[in-house]
Amino acid sequence: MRLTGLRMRLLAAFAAVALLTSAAVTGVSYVLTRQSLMTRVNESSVQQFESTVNQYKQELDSADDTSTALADVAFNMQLAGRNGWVLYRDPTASATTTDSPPYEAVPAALRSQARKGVVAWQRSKVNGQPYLIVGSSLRHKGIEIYDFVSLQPQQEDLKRLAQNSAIASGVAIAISLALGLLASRGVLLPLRRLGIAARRLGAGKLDTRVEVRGNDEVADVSRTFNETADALERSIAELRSLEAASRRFVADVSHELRTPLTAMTAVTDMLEEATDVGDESAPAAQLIVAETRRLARLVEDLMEVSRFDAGTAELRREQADLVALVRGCLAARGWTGRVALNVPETLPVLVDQRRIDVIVANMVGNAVKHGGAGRVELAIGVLGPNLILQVRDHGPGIPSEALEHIFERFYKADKARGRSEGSGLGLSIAYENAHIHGGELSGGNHPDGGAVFTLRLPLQAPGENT
Amino acid sequence: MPSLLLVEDDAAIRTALQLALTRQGHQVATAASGEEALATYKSVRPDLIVLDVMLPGVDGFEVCRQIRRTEQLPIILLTARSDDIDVVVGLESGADDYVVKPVQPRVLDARIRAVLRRGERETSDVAVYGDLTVDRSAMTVSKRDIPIPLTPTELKLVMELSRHAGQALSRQQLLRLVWEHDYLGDSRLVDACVQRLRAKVEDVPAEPTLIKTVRGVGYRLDPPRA
Repeated sequence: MRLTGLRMRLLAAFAAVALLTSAAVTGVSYVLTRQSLMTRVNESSVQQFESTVNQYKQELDSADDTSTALADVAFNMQLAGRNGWVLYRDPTASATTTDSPPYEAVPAALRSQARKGVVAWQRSKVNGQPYLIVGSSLRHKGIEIYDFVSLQPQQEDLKRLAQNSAIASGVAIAISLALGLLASRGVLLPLRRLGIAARRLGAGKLDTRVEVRGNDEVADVSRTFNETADALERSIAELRSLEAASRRFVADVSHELRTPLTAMTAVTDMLEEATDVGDESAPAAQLIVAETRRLARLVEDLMEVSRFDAGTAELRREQADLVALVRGCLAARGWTGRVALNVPETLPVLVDQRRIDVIVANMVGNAVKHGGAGRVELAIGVLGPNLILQVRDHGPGIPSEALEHIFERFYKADKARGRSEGSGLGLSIAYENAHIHGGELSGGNHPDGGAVFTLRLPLQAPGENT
Repeated sequence: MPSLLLVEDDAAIRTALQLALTRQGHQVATAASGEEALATYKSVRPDLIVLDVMLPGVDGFEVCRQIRRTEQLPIILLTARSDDIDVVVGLESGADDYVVKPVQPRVLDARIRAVLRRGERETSDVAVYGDLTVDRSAMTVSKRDIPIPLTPTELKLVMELSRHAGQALSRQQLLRLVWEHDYLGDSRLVDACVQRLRAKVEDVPAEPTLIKTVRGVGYRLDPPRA
């Protein structure tokens, strides 16, 4: 789970809210409870103290020996069950309690208050325990009485309250976390579904849609997603049909051109022979013959390209010897003398021979055409699972700005040269032919000068077993 | 002078090819449709038919099939598309060879002459393969003394297989020997012709005992084991 993820953030927010709320509630209730508890203890203790002292006031004022009366006062006060002690001091009768904390345990401030004759109280710790000490004095005799009321039960009540509050807070946080998980699931699950759908859409599955549930913001986003996908699917379908139409147009045009070209091609030989040398129409006839052949080649190439575009190009693999195929290709075009071969004796392959012939003829043809007078080198080797056929010339090489365009249709590296005898489709057809074999054709420059074209073909045809 | 029947619906191509082929030394009769071809080929009695595939009405394949029912004369298909399916259908309907438009007259002429050469007699002897008798001097093939009608291409194929009896011949070798094609000949020509030949000479064409397939190589003619 991501630490900065939406889920973590939601959970943290829920927990924080629960924590803050319970802290506030327990804090306030603790303070209020404590206040009311203490007030109650104070009031009752003071009341008790006053009523007991008043009860014995007469006797304490009149009696010479106050020790009996004081003992009664102490007894009565302790009877109230305050779980504490009573300390009294009568300087005249030297009557004093024995089983109480020492006189010094009473805070000085309280003592001075009590000596003034008022009933005073103060909370203080005696032997580490909290006590409420209520005290007063009978001024004319100097008798001081202090009632130590233990606050232990209240303290324990408060402690229990704090403990219970902590437990309640813990439970509240746990519940809020569970709720947060539920809520985040409610948000995150549709989000994750949206994410998956978006990825599928991006991968080209244009019919991807998400289910719209409920009527919340996520549902809105889902609806928007579906609408966007609809629009995308529509525009891509439109684009595709436009593209298909333009491709069909090229294919149709090529087909239509072929019929008149067939008729023209059929008589070009006659035209070539019919014109006498010296006849001034001879160059014109030659031009027509040459251009007719060029046009025929262009139309053939266009049709081949159309087949690749339409995906109807068919691969007919046959067992063949690549070396014999290359030799045949060179011999048929009169290139045998121009190409230095560095090839094995024989190399059995399973390929479409016509397509390999097209590739090799193109590679060597380019080298012969652009390589100047230098020799052309053709090497065949095996590298891992691939066979490599490399053709190198010793010409000026490919201009660097042309390198990435050489396989584009009708691309001409040298615009000034303009027309060449090729159709401008040769390399792109060779590239497609390599591709349909599961291989690839690449072109570049040799570090020592000259262009290098490399054909890589998998030795093992796809689907073929060892 | 070899006489040809050129069947082509496009007037310009028909005229141009007629001009070119006549110049190459052929006597060329023409037909503009499949129906016309079927109606005239019996009276013209050509040595060979050059047949366009894309004909309105009865198409080239159908013409080829109908002629093959009774005649063994060689047929070269003129296909406007080099799409593979056309070639396969054409070869199955019994054509001997095909050329793709736009065709160079020189190429077409070479193909025509190669097909016509297949019927030429050679001076050789008689070979017997089980029930099958191949008479290389009389250029006849008979099975249990009944002559089997073969097209010149089928005949030539049997002759070449018989000349190299017991030896496997690759499709490319057969293309050179029988069809006189260059190094890039279409091996489906061989396969289609072997299928037709088996249909005529084998007892069970699907389980050939004479013309065996050598996997990854080609075909071989074997005398059946006793």
